[in-house]
Amino acid sequence: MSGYGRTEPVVSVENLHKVYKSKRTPFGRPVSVKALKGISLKVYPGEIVGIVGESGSGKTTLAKIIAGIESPTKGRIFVKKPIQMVFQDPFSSLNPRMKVKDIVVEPVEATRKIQKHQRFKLATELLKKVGLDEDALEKYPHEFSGGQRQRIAIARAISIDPQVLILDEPTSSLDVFVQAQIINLLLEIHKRTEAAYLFITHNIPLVINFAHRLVVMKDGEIVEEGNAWETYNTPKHPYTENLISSVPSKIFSLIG
Amino acid sequence: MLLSLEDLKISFRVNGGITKEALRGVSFSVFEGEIYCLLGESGSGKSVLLKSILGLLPPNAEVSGRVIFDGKNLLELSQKELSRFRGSRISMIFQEPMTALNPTMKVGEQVAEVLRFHFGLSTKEAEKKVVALLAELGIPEPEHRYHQYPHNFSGGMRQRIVIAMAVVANPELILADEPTTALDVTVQSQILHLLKVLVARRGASMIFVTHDFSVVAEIGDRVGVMYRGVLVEEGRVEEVLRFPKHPYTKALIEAIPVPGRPLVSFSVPKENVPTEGCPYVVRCPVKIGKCFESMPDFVYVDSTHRVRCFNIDNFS
Ligand SMILES: Nc1ncnc2c1ncn2[C@@H]1O[C@H](COP(=O)(O)OP(=O)(O)OP(=O)(O)O)[C@@H](O)[C@H]1O
Ligand SMILES: Nc1ncnc2c1ncn2[C@@H]1O[C@H](COP(=O)(O)OP(=O)(O)O)[C@@H](O)[C@H]1O
Ligand code: SF4
Ligand SMILES: [Mg+2]
Ligand SMILES: [Mg+2]
Repeated sequence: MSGYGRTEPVVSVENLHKVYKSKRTPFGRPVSVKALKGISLKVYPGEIVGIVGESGSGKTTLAKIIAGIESPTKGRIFVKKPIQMVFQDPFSSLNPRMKVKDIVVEPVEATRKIQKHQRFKLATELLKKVGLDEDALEKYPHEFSGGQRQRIAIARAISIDPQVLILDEPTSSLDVFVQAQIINLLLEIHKRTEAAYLFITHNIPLVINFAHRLVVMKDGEIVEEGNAWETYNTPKHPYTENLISSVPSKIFSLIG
Repeated sequence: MLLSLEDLKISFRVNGGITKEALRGVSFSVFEGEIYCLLGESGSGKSVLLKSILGLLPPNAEVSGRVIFDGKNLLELSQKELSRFRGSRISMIFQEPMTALNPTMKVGEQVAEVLRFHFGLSTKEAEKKVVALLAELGIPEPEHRYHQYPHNFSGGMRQRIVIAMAVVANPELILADEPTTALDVTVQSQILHLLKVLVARRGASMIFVTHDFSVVAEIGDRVGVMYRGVLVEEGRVEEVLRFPKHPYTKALIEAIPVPGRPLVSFSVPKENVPTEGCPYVVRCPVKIGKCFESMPDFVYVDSTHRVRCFNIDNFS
């Protein structure tokens, strides 16, 4: 990406390795899984990077290490803070015992002390940014639909103006209309904040419409990366080719 | 005609004597050898519909209408009579493969059990048949895999085992509830292909439930679009995708991510279903006065394409 090459990256990882030693299962011997095998990746300010690849290829592991939720077995990481992550499942990613007004300001409170009236104002503003009404403030997560919860998770993530926002399949549990709303919301926020996005997904037709770059992972390695649109149309690695040919594409010729 | 649903209504008794309508009178037929896709957003009633066919609804469900299979109304059969249909003549594939499998039993034996239960095959005979089927489903080293447990398999391989259980007795009708939603695209594409081949090879029919129009385009012969417990449009897959008539179907198609096409945002109000009138009236951009008053009947666009809408002429 020559356009981004001149600035300093906001994420830079080099030769990342992650080995999970799984606990003994009731059925078999403990095994260790090499989830990442030497990943190097740079992400530049304002860049949207789509990460695709089959299930188990290491996408979430990479995301968690970059977000600081997990530590690598080996390798170097540089991340410009603040960084935030939005998870796939809006039902388990929010604390069920906390009210929305407390959930959305939590990352801010972790960094600095805020006063009660500021807190309320901040929470209201955040909800407004993601298109939720003020009456959501006093409610608990279970009182919301999947799409609304994902909005709450996004409000929380943008509360500290992250330099880097990691989105791990943020719409895959949502219906198409809600998906379209959430994607447009994320793109609008991107325009405003210029945060870098790492967007993990199985929905290739979706992500290539807004990602600048596509990163293709398989078995803990990056097998191909490049301009999103070009990689989709002219994949170079046989694995990428196979992945893209698995996209259900009959529909495109029908609805043309 | 293999199966026909006639004015199927389902509601649930929930707390405080309230009833919640899940299906508001659904009628359609499934023909021999076809894949009928049932498409709708979550909560539209797809799973409830499938479960009612095999008598798998919970006790707080109230069901009316008819489900005719082989001349019998399945809704009138006892659980005991239904159990003779389940697995042998009509089988079900669930979304989450782990819920359908017993974690403590060898996968091959789980498939073989279907044969032993319905046809009284011996263990040896059943194993031979199952190993051949696992091979047909693209499971490598089937003799060896037969003796492994579900946790030894990946999500895609587990779903193949669930499919094996569903097809091993050569049922005439397979009910598949979002069988690929939990899988990644590569495995989804393999499973869709596999299901298509199996259905064709055995001359079976399938009702394939999904919320994903792109999957419908890959696998379906006909599609029925459901909105809040109502079948709002039905036709051949190509016809419906090329010439959708219902405003809801049209919006669904516009919301599909297509490479090179920006995503349109739709507003999604959460108002309750009006009890009378068209279920889509709250969201509909072309509603007219009578849409609030009564449920539209089906209008036939041609002999195979029908739409429940008062105003299709003004919407094309
Ligand atoms: N906590 C853990 N303990 C043991 N193994 C793990 C753990 N987390 C992940 N793994 C293993 O690491 C590998 C990579 O997993 P990861 O969750 O990163 O995949 P993914 O690409 O995100 O897949 P998906 O598309 O299904 O979300 C897999 O083999 C997985 O089973
Ligand atoms: N056991 C139940 N008790 C009460 N309501 C139920 C029950 N099962 C399903 N429903 C309701 O019936 C409607 C249809 O559900 P379902 O068929 O599961 O939808 P989907 O189309 O997502 O498969 C929903 O409003 C759901 O909440
Ligand atoms: S019947 Fe009326 S409200 Fe319903 S879809 Fe047609 S025009 Fe819209
Ligand atoms: Mg993941
Ligand atoms: Mg369902």
